[in-house]
This record gives sequence, C-alpha cells and structure tokens, in this order.
Amino acid sequence: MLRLVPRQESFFELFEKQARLLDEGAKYLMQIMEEFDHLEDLAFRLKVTEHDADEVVHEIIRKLNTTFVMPLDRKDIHALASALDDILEAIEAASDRMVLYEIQEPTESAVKLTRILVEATWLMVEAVGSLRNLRQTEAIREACVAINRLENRGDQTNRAAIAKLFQMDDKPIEALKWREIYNNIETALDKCEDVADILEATVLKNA
Amino acid sequence: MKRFRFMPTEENFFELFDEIAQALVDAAVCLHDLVTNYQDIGHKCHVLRDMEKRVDIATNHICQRLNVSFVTPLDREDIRLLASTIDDVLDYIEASADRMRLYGVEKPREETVELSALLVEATKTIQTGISALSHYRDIDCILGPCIAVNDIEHKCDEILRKALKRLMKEETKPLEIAKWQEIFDRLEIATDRCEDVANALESIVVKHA
Repeated sequence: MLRLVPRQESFFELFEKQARLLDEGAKYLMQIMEEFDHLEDLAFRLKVTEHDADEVVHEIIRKLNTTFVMPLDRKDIHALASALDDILEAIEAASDRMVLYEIQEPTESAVKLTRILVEATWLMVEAVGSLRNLRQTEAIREACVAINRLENRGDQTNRAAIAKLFQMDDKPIEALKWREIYNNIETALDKCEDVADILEATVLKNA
Repeated sequence: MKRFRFMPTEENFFELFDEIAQALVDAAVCLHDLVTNYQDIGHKCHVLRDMEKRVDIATNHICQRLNVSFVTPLDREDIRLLASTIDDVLDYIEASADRMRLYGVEKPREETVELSALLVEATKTIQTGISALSHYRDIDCILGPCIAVNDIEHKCDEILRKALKRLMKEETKPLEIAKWQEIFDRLEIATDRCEDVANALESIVVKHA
C-alpha cells in the first residue's frame, strides 16, 4: 500500500486548494492577454489570489511544524508547498510588471507563452488531485511527463520571443519591458517542472 | 513561561551562527555605505567579497559538524536551511554591489539608498533572532523578529515596484535600463531571501512550542 503524504487528510486538501488557486491565477493571466482593457482590474484580482495562496502555504508550514511527520515526508511536503507558491508568485509578477510598465497591448508571444502556462497549471491541479488517491500513481507520472514537455515548449517559445524582441531596434525600451515579463512567465513554467520533479520523486519513493 | 535552548549544545554552533549573522549585518552596512558614499567602489566590493568568503567557510563548518554531531534529523535539516538561506542573502548583496561596479554605474539610483537601509534593518533583526536562538530564551524573542523581517520585506517590495516604474518612465537610455533591471533584480532576491531566513528561524522554533 502506498502512502505518499502523511495520513492527515487535510494536507491533501491544502495542496489541492493551493493548486486550484494557482490554476485560477494562471487563468487570470490568460484573461489579461485576451481582454487587455481590463488589465488593472484583473491584475488586482490575481494579486488577491496570490495572497489567498500565501495563507494556504503558511497553513501547510504551520501544520507541518506542529504535526509529527517522518522527516523525509516533511521535506517533500515543504518542497512541494513552496514550489507551488513560487509558480503563482512568478505569474503575479508578470501581471504586476505589465501594470507598472503601462503596457498597452499584449504581444503574440506573450499570449503563446501564457497558453502553455495555463495548460501546465491545469495538469498540476490534476496531478496534485491524484496524490490523494493511492492507486493513481500512473496518472501522476503521466501528468509530470506532460508538464516536462510543456516546459520544453515554453523554453523554445521564450527564446524565440526574446530573439524577436531584439529585432525591435526602434523600440528598445518596450523590448526590455517585455523581456522581463516573458522571463517571469518562463520562471513560472520552470517552477512547474520543479513541482513535477517533486511529485515524481515522491511517487517513486513510495512505490 | 517555557524557555528553551534551540541549538544543539554539543558543538559550538552558536559561535558559528553568531559569526555569520554578524557578517550578514556587516555586508548590509557595507552595501548601504557603498550607495550613500559612492566612492572607492573597487575596495568596497572587495570587502564584500571577503565577507562572502567568511560566511561560505562558516556555513561549510556548520554543515560538516552537522554530519558528525549527534543532532536529530529534523533539527539537522532546519539548521542547514538556516545557514544556507543566510548565505544566499549575502551572495545577492554582494552580487548587486559588484554589478554596480562592473557596469560602471556613475551614481546609484536613489531607491538603492532606501533599499539598503531596509536591508540593514532586516539583517540586524535577523541577528537578534539568531542570538535569541543560541541562548535560553522564550519563543517570542525569536518569533517577534521573524514577523518584523516579513514586514520589512513588504516595504522593500513596494520600493522596488516604485523604482522599476520610475526607471521605465524617466530613463531614456535603454542600456541604462537594462543595467538597472539587473541590479534591482539582485536586490529584490536579497530581500526575498531575508524572508526565507525568517521562515527557517520560525520553523526551528515553532516545533518546540
């Protein structure tokens, strides 16, 4: 019998909540790209989501510190919670920069990158949801493979996007603004891969 | 009132932690001095690099002793995390100063003054927490500083946002923007890592509550 995370039901619940908020955040970013007129309003909502998720992380850490859990599991739980948190933070940073830099309209590359990100965060919700069900290790593994693939695609897309920015000789400052935003989205995708790695390692360890 | 000594007594972990906490404060003070009295940059960066080395060595000692001392696995992980997050703060303080030198910055942007002052405040607060950890103290002496560090980090965030906004609005030379994006990025990571130090401290303490 597998036991991925300590028996307390609430760890699962907290992780699922965290993943759901993360997915919500990614969808706000997508919505920003699609309805750019509402940038400020949506960026604000994304910030609120990020705050809510922060609370969940603190709850996980608090619970972890005051519950008896085997050291190995403890480390995994801690790593998972903070990696999930990092993703949402990077997503929030991307939208915050768009507001700060008074971006007027999204670029094609930003839309593309965000689409990849939303796909990855959705997979994450599924994978984290499967942690609870002990016989779904295959589902977790599949999601992790898919997330890795998306991260690679994100990498290539980001590289191409930045190359395109460097051709904007006439608007260097716009290029620099966007480079930062693209990098934030790419960081979010990188952290998705970190989560996938942690999930895979946890599954392996407990197989 | 419950009082604890949180650090294992077998080896002189306290001394090593006192040393890295002091080096951390020194580094933040040095950065603040660098941006307020912007001269002898080469020398000041050199001093910072020395501090970084000092902390590297002390951190290695801590890790080595952790491996040979009797410490429960739980504590070991926490102590290692505490040491390595302090090391990270210092690395990024050094990295931001060195970027100013390398990129030939003529005058630091004004927000660096506020930011480095807050870094001094944060590192001093961390030092207070660390010293409480090493001696018998009640839990609030450690949790108080942790909360204070989080507040300072939020202040830093606001200043950084303001700094980036102003950079994009007022600076007309694209290469200047690129340089400062990088420097502010390093400063942001340094302040973020202060929060990680506070979280690591908190983890050690909460378990004994």
